[in-house]
Amino acid sequence: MSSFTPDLPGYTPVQTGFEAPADGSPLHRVFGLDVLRGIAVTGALFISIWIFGGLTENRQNGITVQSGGMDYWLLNTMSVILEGKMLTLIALVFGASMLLYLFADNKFQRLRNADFFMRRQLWLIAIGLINALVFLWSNDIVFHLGLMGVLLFPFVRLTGRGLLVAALLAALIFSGKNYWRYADDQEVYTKYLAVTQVEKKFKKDSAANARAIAGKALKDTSAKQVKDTLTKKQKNEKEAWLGLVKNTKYDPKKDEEKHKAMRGGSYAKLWNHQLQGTQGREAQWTYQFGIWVLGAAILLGMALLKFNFFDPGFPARNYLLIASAGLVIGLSCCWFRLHYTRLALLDYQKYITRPLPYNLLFGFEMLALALAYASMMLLLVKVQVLKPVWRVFALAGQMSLSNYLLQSIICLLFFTGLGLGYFGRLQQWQLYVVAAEVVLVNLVFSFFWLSHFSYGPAEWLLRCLVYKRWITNRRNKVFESTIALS
Amino acid sequence: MELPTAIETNTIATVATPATVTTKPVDSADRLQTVDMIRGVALLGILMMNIPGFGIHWSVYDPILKGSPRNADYITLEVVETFFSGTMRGLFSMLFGAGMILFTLNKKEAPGGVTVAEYYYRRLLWLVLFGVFNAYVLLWIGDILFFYGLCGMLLFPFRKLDPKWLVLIGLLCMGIGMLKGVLSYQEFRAPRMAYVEAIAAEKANKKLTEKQKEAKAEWLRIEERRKPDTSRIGTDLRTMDSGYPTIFSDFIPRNSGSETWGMYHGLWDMLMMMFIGMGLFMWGFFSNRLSTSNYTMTLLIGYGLGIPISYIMFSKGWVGSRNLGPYLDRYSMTHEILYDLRRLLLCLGHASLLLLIYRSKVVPWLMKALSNVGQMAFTNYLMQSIICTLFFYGYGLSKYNELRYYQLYYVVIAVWIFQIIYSAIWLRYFRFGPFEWLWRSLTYWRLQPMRK
Repeated sequence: MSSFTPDLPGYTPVQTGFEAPADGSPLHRVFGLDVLRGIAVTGALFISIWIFGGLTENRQNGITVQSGGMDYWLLNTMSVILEGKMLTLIALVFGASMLLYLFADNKFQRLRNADFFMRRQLWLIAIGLINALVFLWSNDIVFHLGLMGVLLFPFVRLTGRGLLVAALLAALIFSGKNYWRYADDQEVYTKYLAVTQVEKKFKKDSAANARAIAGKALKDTSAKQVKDTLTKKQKNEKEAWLGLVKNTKYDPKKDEEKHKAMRGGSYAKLWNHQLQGTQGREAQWTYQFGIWVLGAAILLGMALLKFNFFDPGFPARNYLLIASAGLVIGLSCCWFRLHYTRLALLDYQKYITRPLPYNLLFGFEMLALALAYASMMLLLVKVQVLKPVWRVFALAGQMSLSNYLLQSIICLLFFTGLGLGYFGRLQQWQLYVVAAEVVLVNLVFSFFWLSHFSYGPAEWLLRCLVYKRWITNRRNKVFESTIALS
Repeated sequence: MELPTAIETNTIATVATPATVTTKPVDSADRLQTVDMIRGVALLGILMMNIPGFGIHWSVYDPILKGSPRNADYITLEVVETFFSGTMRGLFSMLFGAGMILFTLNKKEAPGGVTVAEYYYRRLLWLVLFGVFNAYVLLWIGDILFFYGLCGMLLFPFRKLDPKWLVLIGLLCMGIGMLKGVLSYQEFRAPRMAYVEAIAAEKANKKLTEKQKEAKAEWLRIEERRKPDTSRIGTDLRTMDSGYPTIFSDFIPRNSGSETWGMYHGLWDMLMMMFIGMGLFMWGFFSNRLSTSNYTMTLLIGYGLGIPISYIMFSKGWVGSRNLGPYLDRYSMTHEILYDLRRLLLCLGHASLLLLIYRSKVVPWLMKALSNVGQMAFTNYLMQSIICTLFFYGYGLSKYNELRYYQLYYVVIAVWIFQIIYSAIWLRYFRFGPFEWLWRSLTYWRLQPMRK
């Protein structure tokens, strides 16, 4: 989101001066990056809306095992086109912007004041926490971007090639982690099988006993019967597997409690309900997966910037090549994922005996498709097709942090009991309509806001905090027409 | 673990760091020797709290804490808990904060080169990796390097702040930690409260509602789960007596669990001390700059308040909460809430005491020996993991859970003596400890000169 990114005012013709690099070299806002950022932040909502609106994993599982129908096709289409890709695009742009912020425009030689950068990252973490803990958006990403910026700061001097390798390595580790989790499930299944073997033996024994009792009227079989129960450990092992299987099955009752919690009108209760999800996302997910998924995308973004990918001078041929390669790779990985997801949900027991998990290549799918989208859009920007569209998205991208937070607030008021309480009450297609409406609000809001102000409200606040001074935000009248014309 | 140690800043840095960052020698070696000395004490002291983690199973505490008989085990535990628990880690964190200031402010940047900020963050990222290594490879479940690396990354933007703000931020972190403690205690206490209510209703011969029945059952389940599970203990002990692969895979989920929890919930504990340490360092507290009467006052206040609080925490809190039900009924707030406060007080007391001893020059040889240990703190910390795992774990001498609690401290003393001697000898021939050298070389990405 924009303020995860360069403060460099650019085609925004306002320059306050103090953030200029020491040598006074000109600052510019990279139009292509703003476009991508705007599209990513608005596009991501079409996936986030599942969580905002209560299209729970349970419901998704129910849809995935259908054989056709609108819900089925809608969900799969969204999953192919957007799921994870928009998030990756956000992180990718964040990575590129990180370098722009740090090096301004000096060919990666001289680092600007790292203090500003670090302060900015810490404030982003704080804003992320506010988004999660005050606006109650449990899947907030600002927190993670703030954190990842700090962690990846030591990598900014790597060459483009080095960064690319690092990105692929991170994606590979993500694959490894997914595989590892799958292997754990496989082990659970193996243990379960062992327990069922034991159980079968019990049954045989007790059947034999029953025959024996019937035939010879044996008096004392109690000794045998005591042994015929599973130990505590065996019971746990059995239940662990059955629990896994149950989790994959759609259960209409499963979401009831969640619906009740989300539609309740008390902020305190809602807060408590969301807390667990938020902490799971910010702690466990970050530690196990987030670092690698987001890290890969951010590193790729940095690499792309070093390869001049976002420059208007980047050859159109290369955009085309990258886009087609990205699409081929990404869609193949995606096919693998969706195909096996469906198999897993149809029959988890059969699935678990396969060698590879459905999400093995998810990391590469996200990188490849996000890269392909970026190439296609930058190409269109370059050849100046659909110019007004890109301009609108660029404006949204310029104040993407504000837009992102606005999405949380609107959805909080629309879906939870604090407002209209539509959580879990809408069909899938209706959710997308809501998302589209929110995006429309984002776009219109950005357009009007930026014709009066230089920075989005959250971006402005962040700047004030980072530079520790009051920054004038009102746009000078003289420039007002420039933006409309540019 | 912080390491801008005396030797580094005085003699080596100018030679060793790449030309783009020039370092200014610190004015007086004396100033930093005290920092090293305190760090040395903290490093050695930390083993007192870590040794049970290496050497015994947690179930051993149950019988000891019953308190009768008041045997050597109980008394040892009482002393360790009252005077030291959490304080050595606290001093360590404080000096880590101080070291961060030393590292960044002593270096001047040449335009266009790699900046101090970059070296600082590279160094910390390596530290995080060393922490992962310590936890997952050396198999020390209580590793702190991982967290120090991460926390250190948050400190950087605060390094130029006025000391009083730093201390205030530190206290704020302490407050957040306390608040989290209060909340989690309340959550923990809730089932007991529901149970008590259900029991009261039962006694009044009222018919229990479904909810009350569930509450009653829930608490009984919790109590059941708290009982030592002999088969579980047996499994644990067998694991620790096994070879490296078994322990290694057993530790993976434990390590990832504790690192996850620590980096999200547990960092206030460290951040608090680091911020306060930065502030105190700027005031000259650790560099022997305050007057003797100031140190004496700090000592009196630190110990005067800290020791009684600490004793109450141990005797009423720790021992009292073994009988969990009544404890929860009695206390609406846990004694643990005082943990950070008394830790801070005791840290100040310990540091003042050490500085007063240093000043009095009664045992200069000991001070020198301790500052040697402190200069190689990073090496010595990792070495404690290596020695203790090899002594206790199944792939080494396999002494896990074989010593009595108090006997663990014989091992501690042996390690102390070894580390004091080893550090003195090593530093006679080399400029840094082996792991310090490795860390530096990785940070600057070139081999650093090692021999003196």
